[in-house]
Amino acid sequence: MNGKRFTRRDFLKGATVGAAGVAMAACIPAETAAPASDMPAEEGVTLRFMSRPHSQLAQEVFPDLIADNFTANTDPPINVNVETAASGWADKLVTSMIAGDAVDIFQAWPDIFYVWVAKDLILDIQPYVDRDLTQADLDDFIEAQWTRLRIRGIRVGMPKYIDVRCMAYNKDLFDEYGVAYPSNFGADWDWQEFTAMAEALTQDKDGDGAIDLWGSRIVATSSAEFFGWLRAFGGDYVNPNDDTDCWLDEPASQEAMNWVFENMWVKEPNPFIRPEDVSGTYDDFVSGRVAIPWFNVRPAQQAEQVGQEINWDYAHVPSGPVRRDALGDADAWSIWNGSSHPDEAWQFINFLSGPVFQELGTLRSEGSLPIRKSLMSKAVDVYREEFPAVADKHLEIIPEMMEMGYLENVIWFKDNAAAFELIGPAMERIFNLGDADPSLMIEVCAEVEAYQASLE
Amino acid sequence: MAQAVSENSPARGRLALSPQARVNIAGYLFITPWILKFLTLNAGAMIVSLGISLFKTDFFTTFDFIGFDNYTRLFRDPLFWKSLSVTAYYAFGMVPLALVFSLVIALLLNQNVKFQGVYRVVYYLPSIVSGVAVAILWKYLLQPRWGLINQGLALVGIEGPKWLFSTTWAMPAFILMGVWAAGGNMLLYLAGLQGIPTDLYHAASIDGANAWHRFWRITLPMLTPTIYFNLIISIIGAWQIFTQSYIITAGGPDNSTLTMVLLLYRKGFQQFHFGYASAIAWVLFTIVMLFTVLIVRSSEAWVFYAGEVRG
Repeated sequence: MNGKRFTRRDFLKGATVGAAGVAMAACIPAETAAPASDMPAEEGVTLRFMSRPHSQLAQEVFPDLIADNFTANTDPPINVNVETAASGWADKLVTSMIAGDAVDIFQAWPDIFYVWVAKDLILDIQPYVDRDLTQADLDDFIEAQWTRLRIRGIRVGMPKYIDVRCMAYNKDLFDEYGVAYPSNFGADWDWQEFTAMAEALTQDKDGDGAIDLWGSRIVATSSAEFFGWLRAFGGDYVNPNDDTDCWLDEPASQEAMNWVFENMWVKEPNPFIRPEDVSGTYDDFVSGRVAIPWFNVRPAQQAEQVGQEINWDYAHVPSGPVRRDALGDADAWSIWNGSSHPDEAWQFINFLSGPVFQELGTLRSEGSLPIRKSLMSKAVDVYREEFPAVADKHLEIIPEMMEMGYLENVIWFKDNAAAFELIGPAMERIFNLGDADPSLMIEVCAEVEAYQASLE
Repeated sequence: MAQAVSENSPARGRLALSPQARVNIAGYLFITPWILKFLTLNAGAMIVSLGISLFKTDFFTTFDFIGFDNYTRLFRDPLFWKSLSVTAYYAFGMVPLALVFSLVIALLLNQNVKFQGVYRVVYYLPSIVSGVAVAILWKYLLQPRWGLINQGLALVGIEGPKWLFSTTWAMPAFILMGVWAAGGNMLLYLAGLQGIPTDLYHAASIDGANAWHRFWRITLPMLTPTIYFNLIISIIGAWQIFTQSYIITAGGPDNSTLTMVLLLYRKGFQQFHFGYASAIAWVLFTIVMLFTVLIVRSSEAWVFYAGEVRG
């Protein structure tokens, strides 16, 4: 046969040329479809906003809320495309930043900010704040959270809401075992009183020789959840003045860790539930397995998950030997450093943290705790009105926490992910497995410090 | 004369193709979508990642060429060796068990039983459920005190292990999950089983072969192409295990479920060491490639193709 054979080499050549052609064609910018964000300012701009709403309602209403209360008041118009964050959003966002195609505005929190600021990914909004916000505006933010959003020398964003921690207690179980409720909803109790209550409430209810009701649950392997207990004893994760200095080996931190370790792994019976016995925060609480769990203050969520199934209420975290401390984390809206529209993005995040959106979006749509002091008392009324299942609870704990001023943020290591690569497994051994005591942290801290000190 | 025939042939003016060439073209056309996808989406990324593995880079502030430093650093990193041993444990534990388990299920489902279709769907279902959903489901099942598995074991007087709260039992728990999701293998075995000519079984029965002989001498050899395919796919998948350790244990307790891809993810997306993460990816690729080549090379010795003539 004289016909030319179609070989595998021919095929691959053809396929490669074809694929390259397709790829190159895809790279040629369309002449007519310039990105909306590159339009002249007179015609308005369109911002891309990655939203992480905490409720279905918020996801549905945010676009209209923004259009009606923000875009409608801008001239030339600043349109906002609301893009709901998908799972793994942080990784995807980093990837799109590398590709130079990230959203203009996103929501994150301090441990992410800490890393991303070091990588120069976040716009410093301090100049805008200095230019546009009055002292009255600044005074209306919860001070500790506002302060905490200044990270590594820049202001990373405008606060979105406050994520705060408290205790909850099951009144039915307190009544059943004759234990007095925390006085003043825990405003007066300390760690010793709390421990004594937890011991009294730890029971083998069915008499089979195994504990099935524990006094409390302390989450010890998460830095964000545990640092408050360390500070209550006078310790911390990291030296507040030196982000390479691990403080888990300090005597006060060791004392706090020993207190949890003993109540979890040494005492018989153990008043603090071990991680292996945990089914889930709400599940354990509602089913009467944990009497005084550690909670986020999220009335909307608690109305749905706990509601009236048991007789319960909120309580302040107990004070430690040194002070009272709990997480009050400020999530924030930030601007990507590569945004083409930083001025418009600033206007938008200033709106998001403003009183209108904080009430309509954060409080009423999401059920989250607003960042503005002026909305705190209103928040209690709104929660009672919107979530009848928690209307009889001591929601005043929210403004009380702000007044008592014990809400703080965790401080991170210089390279926190690397530090936690060493600290995490050690914490698991101490608190999840119970096969090492807190003194293990002394040698781990030495390793952490050696690495952190070696960083540029 | 030959010229005259050729000029009058209806094929004149068209590319003269032999029957074999036509078959080849058809084959290439079938794989064209995959080739195009590979060339446009995968090949470029792979080449770039190979290049990145020679740099110290976070993609934003640093891009320093360091040659093979990432690789030499990798071999001095205890976490890398830990993740390698954890992943190898999973691959060598899960793959044989999953292959045997799915074969047994396929053999059972190949019998003429009532509700055969229902059973097939039930066993296949786990392999189409999202990895995240499976991970969350198993987290509950494996809960030491309240989980269904230990509750079931307690019914027969066995005190179940602490599973995900034990450095010894966490990886066996993952292997159990992997075996449970072997429905894909099962389906291929079923297809393979139904392709075995029944004449072979009839002839063997006439010759006095019992059920074991028929399985050992007919079923298993005739299934070896399917076993071969399942083995390669399972090995590749097993070395890439990520979702379970990311969702359920975050690599714990005490790094006992720290797999290579989880380490890669942490180094890349949490610590921004993208050059180092790329080096891990290439070491993983090399390991998977080695096993694949080993299986392909050895296949001549143990894979039997019906109709194949061996010299």
